[in-house]
Amino acid sequence: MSSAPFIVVKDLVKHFPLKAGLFSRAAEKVHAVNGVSLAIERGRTHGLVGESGSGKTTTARLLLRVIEPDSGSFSFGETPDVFALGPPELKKLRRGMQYIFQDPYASLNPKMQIRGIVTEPLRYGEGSSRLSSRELDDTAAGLLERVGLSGSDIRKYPHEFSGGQRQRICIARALSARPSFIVCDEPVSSLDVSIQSQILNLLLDIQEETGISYLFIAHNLAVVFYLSDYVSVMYAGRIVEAGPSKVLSSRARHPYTRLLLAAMPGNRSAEGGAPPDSGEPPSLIRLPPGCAFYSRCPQRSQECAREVPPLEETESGHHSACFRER
Amino acid sequence: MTAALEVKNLSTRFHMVSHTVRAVDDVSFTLGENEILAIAGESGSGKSAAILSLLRLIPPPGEIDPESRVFFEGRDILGIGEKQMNGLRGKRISMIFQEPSASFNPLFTVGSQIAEVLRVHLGLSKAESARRAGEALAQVRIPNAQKRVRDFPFQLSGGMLQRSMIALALACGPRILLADEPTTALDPTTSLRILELLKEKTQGAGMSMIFVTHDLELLSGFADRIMVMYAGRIFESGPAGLMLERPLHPYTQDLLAAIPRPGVFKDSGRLYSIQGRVPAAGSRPSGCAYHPRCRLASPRCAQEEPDLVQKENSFVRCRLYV
Repeated sequence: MSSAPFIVVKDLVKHFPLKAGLFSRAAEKVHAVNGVSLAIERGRTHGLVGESGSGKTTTARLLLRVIEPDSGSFSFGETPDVFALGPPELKKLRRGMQYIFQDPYASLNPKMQIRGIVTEPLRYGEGSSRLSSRELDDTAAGLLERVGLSGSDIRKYPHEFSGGQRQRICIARALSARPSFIVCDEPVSSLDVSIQSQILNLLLDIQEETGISYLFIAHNLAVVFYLSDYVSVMYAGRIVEAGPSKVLSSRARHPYTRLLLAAMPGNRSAEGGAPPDSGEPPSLIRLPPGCAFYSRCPQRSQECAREVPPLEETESGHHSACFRER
Repeated sequence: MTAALEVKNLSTRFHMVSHTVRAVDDVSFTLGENEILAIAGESGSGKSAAILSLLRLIPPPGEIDPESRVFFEGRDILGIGEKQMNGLRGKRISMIFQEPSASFNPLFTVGSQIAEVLRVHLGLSKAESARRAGEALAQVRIPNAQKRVRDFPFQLSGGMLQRSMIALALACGPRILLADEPTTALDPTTSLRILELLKEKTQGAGMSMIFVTHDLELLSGFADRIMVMYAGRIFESGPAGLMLERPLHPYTQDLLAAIPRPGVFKDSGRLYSIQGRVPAAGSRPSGCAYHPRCRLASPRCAQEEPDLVQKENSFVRCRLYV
């Protein structure tokens, strides 16, 4: 674990300006991501958990520069700062970073054959157009077999496949450019449990073979803990706790992480009853001055309402942003 | 146990051009008073078609078999007129859906949509129904309910909107609540609170509930009984605690084994995974529909389908128990 991290993200910030209405002030912003830092080592998985609106997906989209950050830095392998790259350099780098989305129905072009879909990343960028039709066929068939589909399916269309198979096609497409990093954004949330375990196992097999790194986003804690080496918990655009998967699942320090753990179905019956929690996350337009979790926190004190608790190391590799639990 | 609802030989078919899909195939069960019965299964198992059939909400080319019977308050509601059926829907038997944002009309306030139900079913005046709509929202613990009635659906979060739909469903004090995956689109914390709310309402209000889900794990500590469906058939049914601890059918066992558990990490090995997938509509395998995926299948399983047999307090459809 001492090797230099492959991916280092520092102080990522993204605020979306709201369109000014007739009577509202133009200066209002949605504070989606407010200073997120994380590191991922080669061949490892970093999990990101949190409720909807916590900024998980925005963080992922920022890393891939689908949207541009307000500030922050992102070093990726040999590239010191991906955010500083101009369009040509970024295009080159893009093949190394791929994305698997939540909805396999929405992320495949219904009018394209599978062959075209899975080789699309190869047909763009550096040295791409050199592949003959024959070579593309062979590549596509190889990719499909790799993800557990039949190589003879390359001429089929997305509608001929089930949800789980479509997610496999998305994985094949992501793998085609031989990336070193894949962002998996809720890749199993829309799948049945039986299919979910097949896809999770496939992601693990691929990682073992290729040494790929994943940023794995999901709201199902058990899934994230199972798949990830390291997990960050997000709340209102900030990381409130981060640590090795095993440490976090058994010795969580932040009250929000504990709340999430207690809401896990497998933990619920064991501890008999859920924690008293009736709150909702704060408005991202007007974030409270102190800890964003203040309004829901069972352990809050006056200090928490005044100042944002910093993310501090509590034991080796385990960080928590809470004044009360250090 | 007195029955709130008795379902006998319910079959629902969809007549397609080239074939007929048996979405619900000879399903019989009883829903007790104040009981929470969960119907669990993967997509395509027929669980949603089953509860939509109870409300007769099956559009053509779908058809409920004329031999099917659903007894509610002393009569077979599959046999009554459409007008009488409309009097039951939303009043005596109501339903909540998976996507609350898709179930409310975005152009009307949440309060006015609840008030409409009260006016239609209970004949309340405009003012009275508006006041009761506020109470209904307060009942599901929406803060500032009297103000929130004037909110449009887009102004409420997913959890709040699902609460509002529960308020809408409970507004007329139904005997039976049908819930189709009401927590699937929600965060785990929100989902837990919705389940608690539903359980509380069932216990307090003399109401029974059928809760459809694909997530067996969710049901622990929540459902009284579970019925597992596969390819339109009941595979196993029994008390929830018992089934989650000692599932009988290989399919139920496989479903539970495939769920990642707390305290299980990738270095402890791969997750258990069921091979293959749910049979496509209209191509149900011969014999036991699960046999192509079953790890305990024998050649006989491909030929004949076993009956649903009683095993202690549960029922199971598998040759292992015949």
